[in-house]
Amino acid sequence: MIRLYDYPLSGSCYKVRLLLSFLNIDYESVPIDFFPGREHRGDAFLEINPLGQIPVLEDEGLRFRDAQAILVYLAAKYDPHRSWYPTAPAAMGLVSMWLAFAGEEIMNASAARMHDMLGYELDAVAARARAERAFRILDDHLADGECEGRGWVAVSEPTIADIACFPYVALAPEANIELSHYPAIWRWIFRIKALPRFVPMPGIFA
Amino acid sequence: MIDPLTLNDWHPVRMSEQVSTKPLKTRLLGTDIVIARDANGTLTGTVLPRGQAADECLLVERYGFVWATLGRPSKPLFELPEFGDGRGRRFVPWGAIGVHTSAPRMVENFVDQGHFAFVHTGILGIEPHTEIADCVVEHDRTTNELWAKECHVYQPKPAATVNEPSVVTYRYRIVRPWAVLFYKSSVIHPDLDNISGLYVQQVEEDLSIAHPFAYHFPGEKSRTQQLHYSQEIFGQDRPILQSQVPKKLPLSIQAEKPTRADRFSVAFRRWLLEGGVSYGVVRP
Repeated sequence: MIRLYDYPLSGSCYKVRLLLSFLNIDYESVPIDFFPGREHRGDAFLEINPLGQIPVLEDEGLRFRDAQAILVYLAAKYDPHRSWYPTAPAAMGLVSMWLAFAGEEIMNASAARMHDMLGYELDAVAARARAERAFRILDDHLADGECEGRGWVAVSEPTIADIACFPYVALAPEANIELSHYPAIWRWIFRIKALPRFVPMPGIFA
Repeated sequence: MIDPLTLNDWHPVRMSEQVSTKPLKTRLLGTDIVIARDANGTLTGTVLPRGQAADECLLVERYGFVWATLGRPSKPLFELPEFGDGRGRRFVPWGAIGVHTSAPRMVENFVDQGHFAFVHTGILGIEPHTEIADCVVEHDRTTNELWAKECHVYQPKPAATVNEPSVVTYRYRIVRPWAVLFYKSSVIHPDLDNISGLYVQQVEEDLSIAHPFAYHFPGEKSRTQQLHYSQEIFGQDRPILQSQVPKKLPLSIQAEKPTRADRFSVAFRRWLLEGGVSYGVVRP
């Protein structure tokens, strides 16, 4: 069975839980004491992922780290329709582009949340400013999409790019970022929540 | 202005195990303090900036936490005789969690069963089981603690160790405006209670660091499974707490309309009002 090294308050682990639910796949959750125990930085876990990060996913003798990479693997392997990770060259490029955006720019919102919530020592003002810049880019892009009849981040159907971008955008209020400034993001969040088999996480209600 | 009750009392500032010889800066009641242990393990607390008239910050260590005061406490910390009584409960602190609201708001939420079905859906409550029993509210004049007893509630998953729904009974115990406990009947030991608590470090009047913990019979669950059960619940509360306006708790009974189920909440507000508390509240 698929094993997910998991933490309930992690938006990155939630990306994987969300896709597993959309694809209706059973899995075993291996709970990691991320906070306050910092188990992900302990010797035992560094054997599993030398970067000391969650999530990690294991399946059929393979082991993947990085939430975006895990989404690619799961969608490519377990979605028979390949709608979550389309195979058309343009779609693959666009999905990859927004996966990278989710793994880089949007993670500034995660950093600000870690500061406010878990007391991480970092420059939260700078992280918030970078997150808000990313949110403006995403909001403009989604607003353009609405004019073009595209309700989703990469293509006209929801993909793993939407899943990857979603958690830390929806958790922005936890990072003291006001989401009402981003009306197209706001509408996109409701479209994602309306998808069949959507599951919530603490901080994101169904 | 910090009221005397708040100033001259003990406040949680850190989990014991996190305080070492490496000085640790934190903030209490709008004042920066530094806490550490010396080579003998004795706690030392200093108020910043150094060189003030009273720059020592008194510390005590109890119940798994370090407690600090900026004043001169006239009485010891509250009693918790079950802590360390060897009955087999496991102490699991959930970590220091920042919450942008006042301590009394957090205490009020901690004792409110009305939100279980809507915020902790499928764990602590579920529709249509939204009716809240009428608890017995008591003010213990000896200790000046506020209790709500015989609070029965239907819960789908009342503990990390339990997967079947059951009706459980809570006793809530507010020991300070910033410290609250509950005793909840244990499925493993029907004659003994699981205990959970929330100690709130008041960083500012409207900014808090929560120090919640569980002191439960672990059953077959690992420490991490128990921790995640609790953190999931607290993670669901946090956005609700942060969205409450105003962040300081209004003590005027007219300010927010209480229902019958809010009897304990009304008693809590009256207790704060009559106790002369002004920090973290809006007095009428």
